[in-house]
Amino acid sequence: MGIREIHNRLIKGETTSVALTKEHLNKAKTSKLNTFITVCEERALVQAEAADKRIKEGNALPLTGIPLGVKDLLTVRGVKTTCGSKILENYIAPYSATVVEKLETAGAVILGKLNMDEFAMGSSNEHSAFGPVKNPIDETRIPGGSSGGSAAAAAAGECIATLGTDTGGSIRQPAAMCGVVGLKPTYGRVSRYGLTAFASSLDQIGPLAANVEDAAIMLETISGHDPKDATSVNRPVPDYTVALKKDVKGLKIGVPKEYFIKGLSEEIGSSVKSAIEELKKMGAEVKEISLPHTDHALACYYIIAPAECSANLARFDGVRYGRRAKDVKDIKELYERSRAEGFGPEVTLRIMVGTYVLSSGYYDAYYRKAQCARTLITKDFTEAFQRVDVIMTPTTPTTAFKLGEKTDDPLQMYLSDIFTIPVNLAGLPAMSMPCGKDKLGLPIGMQIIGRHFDEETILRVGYNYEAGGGRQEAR
Amino acid sequence: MSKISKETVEHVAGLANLKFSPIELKKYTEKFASVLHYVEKLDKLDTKGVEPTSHAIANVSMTLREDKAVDFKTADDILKDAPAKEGRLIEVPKVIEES
Repeated sequence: MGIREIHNRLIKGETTSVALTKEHLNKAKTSKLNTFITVCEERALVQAEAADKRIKEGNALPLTGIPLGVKDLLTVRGVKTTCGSKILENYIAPYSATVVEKLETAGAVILGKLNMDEFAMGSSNEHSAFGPVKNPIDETRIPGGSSGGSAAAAAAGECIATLGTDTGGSIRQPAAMCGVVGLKPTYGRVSRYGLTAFASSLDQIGPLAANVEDAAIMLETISGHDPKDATSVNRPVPDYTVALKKDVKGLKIGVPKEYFIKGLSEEIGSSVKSAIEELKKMGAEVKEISLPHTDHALACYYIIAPAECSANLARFDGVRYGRRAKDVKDIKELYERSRAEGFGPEVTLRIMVGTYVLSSGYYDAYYRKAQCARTLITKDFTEAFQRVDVIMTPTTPTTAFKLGEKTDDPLQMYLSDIFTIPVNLAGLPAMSMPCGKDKLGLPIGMQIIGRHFDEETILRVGYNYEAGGGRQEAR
Repeated sequence: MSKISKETVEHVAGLANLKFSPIELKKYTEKFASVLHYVEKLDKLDTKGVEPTSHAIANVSMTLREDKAVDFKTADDILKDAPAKEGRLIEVPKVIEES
């Protein structure tokens, strides 16, 4: 059941937010998927009671009384925010993220903080200090990452919808692996205030939900300029739910040949191509395009993202907050041991790579070079968007792999983001949505990429595809 | 291809305020080297005359706020997270060497 249907039931008095919240709290607490790091039982029930009062008074918005979950990378005042890390395992946030405040102002109920790869670095949710999350479709498999908890909780119905974050694919890839809709907005569309920074020029917050309209409702609520985030853009927020419903006649869809390559599962390739055919039957025009620098995107990202992460994670030093090592003899040992004890292996690896590529003597060869490559990758998209309105690709090269399969091989793990990463480098919006299942019944996701600040067209394509019977119900 | 030695890794760890045991050092040296080897594929990309990306979204100027003091109410909550305190000061081990 989508947000709008539940909202109507609440308005009519057929259910209450308290009843819904209790039901979902129970699911959260008894989950076998390890989706939640913190369940905010008392706090959520207080919010649900306030929501029910508001509904009775006739002041309800679409999200009023709706139980949601947020990734544990986002601060919620007075609640533990761990970022999936030992270094923050007891950190109580003194403020709430702007996106959380927006959801709460709309009357939503926050059930708890969702499990994730540590500091958003990972593609399988196996790099959490709080244990891996399991894929609800097959519990021996990963849900994807880094927003694995957000995707799994949405797919399993533990939350009506969730918030995740996306730096190289961390909303879209787990959404594809779990069979839900996941949208990364344009860089600057949504405020990053209260989002623990991983790579400041790439990070964005976005919704994961069971269907496109729910993603649109969530996006509308969290978007907008925020004076507390200097990178948030001052542009009006369109009514995303209205924009959905126009048709796709005459819309130009670009299909980049570089994304349909060896290494892409045959089932995924044909599933995505079928979906594109469906849209063609609805009146869209399909054109083959080229994004020639696609092959350099992964290397470019694995210089820029670690570089930015090494700077952003320097603040975790055991001094003002977070884990502090005991029995240290001086300040240097405090820093070194607090960090060594607090950070997991993937985070440590990326800090190392990032520190190296920014260090004296290497900055030009690596970081500056990567930012030049980034310009070329962005230019590929800008040129393509002169000929097409959206670009459609597979979201991932494979469906959900087994727990433990790629954990020890960083490069193998990184390859699962090859189709999502270029989008972050260019700052573009993109959505993954289900378009089929493989022969094991594992979800397949397709990615719809739009022009900067054109989330409306992406949502419209997705909604039309869904309405045309292409939709796979997550639950 | 750059040769990554254990000494390089130790140097970088020092810059990043990380510390490794001998076993960890070996493990990280291998993984570090393999990631660097992969990203060096950018060497072959011709970027002559290309400007590096300096802003994630082009043509967006950052607005500055007025230089006015604003009331800040969260100090007490922030101090609650400090590992060691003396009054409203955060306590750390010795920073300055005694000569």
